[in-house]
Amino acid sequence: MLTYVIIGLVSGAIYGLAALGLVIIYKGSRIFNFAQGEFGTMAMYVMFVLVELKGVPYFAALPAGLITGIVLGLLTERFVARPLAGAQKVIGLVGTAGVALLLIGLTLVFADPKPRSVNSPLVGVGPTIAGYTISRQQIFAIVVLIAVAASSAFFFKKTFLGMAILANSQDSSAVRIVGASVNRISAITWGIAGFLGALTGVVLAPDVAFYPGYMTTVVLIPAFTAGIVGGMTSLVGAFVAGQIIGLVEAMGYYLVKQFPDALQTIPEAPAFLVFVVLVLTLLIRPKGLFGSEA
Amino acid sequence: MSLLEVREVTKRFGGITANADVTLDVGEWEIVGLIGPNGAGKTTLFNCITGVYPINSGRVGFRGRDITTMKTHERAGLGIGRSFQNLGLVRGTTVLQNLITAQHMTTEYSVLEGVLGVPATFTAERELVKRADRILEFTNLTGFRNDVIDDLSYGVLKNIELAAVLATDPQLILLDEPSSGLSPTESDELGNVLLRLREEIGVTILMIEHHVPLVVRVCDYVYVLNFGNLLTEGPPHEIQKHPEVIAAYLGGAAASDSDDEESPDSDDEESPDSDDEELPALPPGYVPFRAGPRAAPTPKLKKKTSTSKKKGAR
Amino acid sequence: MAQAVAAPPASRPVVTRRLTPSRIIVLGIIAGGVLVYPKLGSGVAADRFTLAVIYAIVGLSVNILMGYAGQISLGHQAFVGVGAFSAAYLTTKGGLPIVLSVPLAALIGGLIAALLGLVALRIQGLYLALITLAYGAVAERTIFGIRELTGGGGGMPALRPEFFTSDASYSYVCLAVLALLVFVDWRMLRSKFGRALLALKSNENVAASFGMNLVFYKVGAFVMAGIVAGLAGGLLAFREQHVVSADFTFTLALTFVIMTVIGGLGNRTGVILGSAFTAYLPFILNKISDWTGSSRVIVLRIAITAILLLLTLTKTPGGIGQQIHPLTEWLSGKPFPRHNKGHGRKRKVKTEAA
Repeated sequence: MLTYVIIGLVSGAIYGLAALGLVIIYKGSRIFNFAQGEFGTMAMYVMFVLVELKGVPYFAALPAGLITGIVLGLLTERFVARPLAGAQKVIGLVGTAGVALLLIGLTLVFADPKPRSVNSPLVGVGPTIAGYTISRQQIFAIVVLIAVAASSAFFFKKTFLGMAILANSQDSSAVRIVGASVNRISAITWGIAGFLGALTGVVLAPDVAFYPGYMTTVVLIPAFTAGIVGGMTSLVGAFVAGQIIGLVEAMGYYLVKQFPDALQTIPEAPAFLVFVVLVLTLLIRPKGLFGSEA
Repeated sequence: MSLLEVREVTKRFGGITANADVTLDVGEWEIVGLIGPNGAGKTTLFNCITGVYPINSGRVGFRGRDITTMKTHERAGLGIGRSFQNLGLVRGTTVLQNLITAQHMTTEYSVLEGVLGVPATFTAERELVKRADRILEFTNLTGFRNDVIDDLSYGVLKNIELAAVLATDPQLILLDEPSSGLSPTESDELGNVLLRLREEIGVTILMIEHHVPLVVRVCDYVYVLNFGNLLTEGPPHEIQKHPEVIAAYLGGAAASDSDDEESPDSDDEESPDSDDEELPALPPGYVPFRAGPRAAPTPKLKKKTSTSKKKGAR
Repeated sequence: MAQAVAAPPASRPVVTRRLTPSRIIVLGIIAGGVLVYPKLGSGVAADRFTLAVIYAIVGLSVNILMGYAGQISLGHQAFVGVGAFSAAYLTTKGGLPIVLSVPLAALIGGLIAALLGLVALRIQGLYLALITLAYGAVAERTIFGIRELTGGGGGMPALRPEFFTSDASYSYVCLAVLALLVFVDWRMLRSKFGRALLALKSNENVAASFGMNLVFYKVGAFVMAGIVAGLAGGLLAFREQHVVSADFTFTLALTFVIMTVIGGLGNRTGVILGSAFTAYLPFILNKISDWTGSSRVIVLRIAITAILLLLTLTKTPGGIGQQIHPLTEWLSGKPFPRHNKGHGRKRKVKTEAA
């Protein structure tokens, strides 16, 4: 059973990273960014092209992947988030869903839908804890998560730009008064989210076989659940809840293993469990564990 | 017995107490004012009375019936109508459609019949249009009948909202700052309208207001709210001079300025009590809730249900 | 009030509608074209036409929820899927004739939607959107994975009775259902039910102050949408004569929402056109790819849909409905509008908004 706990914590790192991007967008623009997953998938494909087709080493190609995410974030902000800023929030959400669909569509045009992967020097076995062999790439993912956690704590609390981003979510006129440009803050916010989305993707890429829409299909809903459970206005919440959701999912796998017959009636128990957590959280405590608004 | 009884109503939001043990009465056919500085909890109280907010403690009664746990639409069904600060109208459609929509409670066909387009619905719908037109005529708004809400100015829309509230066939109307955004002349006109409403339809009015001349001219009785508490109550001319009320509005300016600050400025209306001579006698057997409601109503506008027999809001 | 507003302008007259010969001719051509089309060519034309009609029905369903009641539904494919599987199961395993299984499937769709409606009572806005998306994704994997009901990966067959085996005749059946639904939608919108939905969308507190039972109408909107979606699902099952859970992915849900938005939320005609277009798009792209010899074109489908959505949202929020507004106004007998006011996008005064 402990094996599954480890599995949960490891996948929780990915969910936490992805949730962080969602929370930052929500804090900045108060919309749910359905394109967050595809920022990652696109980065994955860029990495594939560079690493597998052009022979660039993984770490050398990493910046390209990250830049892809940043650019996509900026473009989304400029052409979708900003024009729709005044409309109802749900319209903005449909807009980001449109971006996600567009990105999926583009990958279908330019890429082979066959599952792909990326080679990384970190692929390979690492330590075995509680019966589960963690790959070094997964350790890398956890390290990245911790690094991002620490730097975002610093960034948002101590730097002017970070605080301006937070202020913008509360009241953009406060930002204007101080002389900062709301548009620029908004762009930077989305750029950061794009960066984080891409980071999630590139960190995950060597460990999985991805296809168009992968991140949205596999990561996005758990990431959103993590965001909600942690509180969409809480960065800390994103990290903590990421782990929680990872564990919930792992619990699902564990239950399926333990009771294979009973669970025949609920295929995909892990996904179902995550859904139940989402609904229960929204019904019982919509602002999440650390969030500040319902 | 009063029409509306609010007994020790308390409403809290997290750590903030928006209404604390507020107690007030509105007698039938009265026009009662609810005044107080911004943030005193007046609109919150309206929301508590109409059921938009559940209350933490206390009781709300209407015609002797405890409505504290009733849902908003049920209270509307009993005859409590209300206006909103940001205009309670349906966007994206016409004035006429709004007045028809507002008659929801008196629309006499079932939902299924409406969906299927049963012929009976046609007569009912025609009736709705006719009644809407009568209300438009009564309120002098016929010119705006087919205009889209989104195209009209704020002042006009406030009048239209009042017409929509009338269309809900209310016995008690809660007005939330009816004169906000209106010029002094328009406020004056509004006062005439309210008095006329009371006289011709027989509605009771509880209104949140900031415009003092209007309150003094039109209200029989005034309650003052401050920081969620009931500060004081009384006839308008007494409230005007009440030092605490003045202090609450002005934040502690000297009470000696009372005569200048709160008296109506260029108002040449009669003083509050002089209206009584011109009013018709009260109907026999009518026991006013408080001394001095101003007029016995003579219902002129034929309403579908002249008593409170609603079909139950559906 | 009269003095305050200066003499009110004479009531703007309700424009009288005129049914001139030119209008009748145009309407006749459109109706004729629609009626004749399924008979053209091989059964393939009819088959595509049926799909377009079914999509139009789904569009109407999404429109009830999103366009009229102002709710959100990103998992709509689940209702359609439930309808499809129910109809297939009821006929194939339950032995019911199609005329029973499809309406029952519609009711089942309504039931499932009612559950979501109950959730919508407590959760609103973005959070509700998220739940509907998650629900659609989960339904795809869990409900549709239940072997007993849906035949697992292999799917469930749904054979048409002899009367409708020809694709063209089935087209007409679906067209008749669409026409009926348009009528119901029209009547409903003009009844107190429709007005309640619109009021609900505008502002719930105001609607409640008009005496509208919010629970009843909110859940009611979901139920109506679910019934129509279930109906579409039932028709879909018998079009393909085989239902597979892989047909109902969350991408389909997004497609449904997008086609309704492209059509124009709240605009019946626009929604029908937008949905039909979305259904035809793969076939159009197929044709283009045949001409150009490039198979890449087909894959552009999703990207094109997404681009259309983004353009609609940012440039013409009223969608196709807004674009063809002058035409529909003219066809309904009014004079040709000078400028395209679309769907009342201008807002001079902020009214109480939720």
